[in-house]
Amino acid sequence: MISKTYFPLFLFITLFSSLSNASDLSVHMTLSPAGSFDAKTAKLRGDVVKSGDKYTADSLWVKIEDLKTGIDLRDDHFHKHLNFEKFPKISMTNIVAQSGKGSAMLTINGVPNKQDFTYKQINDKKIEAHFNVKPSAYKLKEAKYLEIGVDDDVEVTASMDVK
Amino acid sequence: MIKSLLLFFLIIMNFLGSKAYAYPHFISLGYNSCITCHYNPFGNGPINDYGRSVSGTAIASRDFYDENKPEELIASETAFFMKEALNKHIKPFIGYRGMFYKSNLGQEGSKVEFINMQFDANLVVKFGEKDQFIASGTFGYAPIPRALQNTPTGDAMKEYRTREHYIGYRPKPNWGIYFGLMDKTYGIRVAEHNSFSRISTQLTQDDQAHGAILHYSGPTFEGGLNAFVGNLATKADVRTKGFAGTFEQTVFEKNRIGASFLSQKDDYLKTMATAIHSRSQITYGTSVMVELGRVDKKPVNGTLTRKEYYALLQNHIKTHRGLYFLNSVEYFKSSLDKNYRVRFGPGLQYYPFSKLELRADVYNTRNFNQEANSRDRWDLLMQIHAWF
Repeated sequence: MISKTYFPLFLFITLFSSLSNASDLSVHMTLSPAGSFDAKTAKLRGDVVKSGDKYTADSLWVKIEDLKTGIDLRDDHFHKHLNFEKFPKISMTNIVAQSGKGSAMLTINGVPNKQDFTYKQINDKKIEAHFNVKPSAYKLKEAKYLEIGVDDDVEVTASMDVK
Repeated sequence: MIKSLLLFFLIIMNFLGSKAYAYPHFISLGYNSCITCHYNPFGNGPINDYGRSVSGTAIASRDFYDENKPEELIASETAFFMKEALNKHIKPFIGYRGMFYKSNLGQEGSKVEFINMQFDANLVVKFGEKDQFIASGTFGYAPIPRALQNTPTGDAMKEYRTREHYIGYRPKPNWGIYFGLMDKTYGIRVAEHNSFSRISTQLTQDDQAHGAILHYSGPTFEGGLNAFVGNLATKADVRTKGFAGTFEQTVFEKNRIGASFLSQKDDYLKTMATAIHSRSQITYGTSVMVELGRVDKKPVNGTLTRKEYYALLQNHIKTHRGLYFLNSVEYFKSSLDKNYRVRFGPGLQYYPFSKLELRADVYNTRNFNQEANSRDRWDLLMQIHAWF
């Protein structure tokens, strides 16, 4: 009886809470041995242009200091880890996407690498792109603080307005 | 009148910037697993260096610090007695919890007392190339539970004893096995040992058992299996022997759903418990936890099985760094009678600075009895928790 009474509430809370995350750029990092955190910013710069079923952008970028994790000290460590004083921006250039897939040149820590991604159209004026990044491919050292490390596989989600 | 005074008290506490403690709900800060901040993979006990730093720089307020004080300095002061660790292998910890308790507010039988709940010293030793070996021992003051005072079981207990000691081995970061005296693995390990979810399941502050725990923590799944033989420091007839397990799956990033079971027996009672639960981040700093459980208790020399049902809903809202507003709603029903109990507990939790937690709760307990009217019961609990 109790399960029938409370299960809808249990389900509602679980589903409702899943709708709570939204950001223009979100970087999801997994901690080792357990846990995770997100760095987010609503200041993803640059224009995405739609032409037919093709999306293009010359450049999209964020200031590293605009990425916030929710803890000031972690922000400091995160920004320093990305070498923000020398390379204050993370950028994607030469972006071309079509049929749910795309590619670009991603530059982090001054190191450019070709980056493939997938995307989906949210509505007529917005698309959302996903890709995974290996920080070690950008000459970033292993991130570790007081024995808690960050996995070398970072998930990036970017939500962009389309012109 | 009493209700108005309590509301006034809560508002004042809020403006003063008060708050409290409760730990599985720190999924609200993205920490969905206990092992990130605790040596024990299922929480409780001493926090590790990372947990100390998080407690000072993410959980506790800056209200009493100069605004220019660097977070890095605050983090370094979270170490044992504010000293940088002498080495990475030996980690001491001291913890204290005390509570001012006023029961039956506004009633003739109202009582006021201060209870020293816990005063522990702990030492963790970890070694190995990747800290894969760990030993943890806690010893200190632990009062005889009120229900056991002036009983043979209570008389056999000592007020200075160990509530936790174990050795552990983690061959890989996501696998570990532990042996010793530990809390049993079941449900959401809320800090409130008086919650129905802990009382009904017999998992309160003194219900640890010697045994083994196997822990796994993967990217989205975490679980533990626990076999135990009771607390060997207690009399043989009340040692609960059995097994337990709890499992959680991450869904939608910052949400976990889980299930637990517990089967145990001493010379007098067989207990079988099952539960489902969820822990969810609503926004950064805000969480909701739900646990629903059923407990079957059967006397060893009897035939009648008592079925108990409980529910716990607790949310935790960060108002600003250091201050949290808590709400608990609990339900309890036993098959032995037609009554059921509901308890509602708004509270405030304040960490003014690292190593100190203040908490104030008001509990309203109501018995829903189909045959007789009973008054609501109001209790006030104010707690202090300090650690070094």
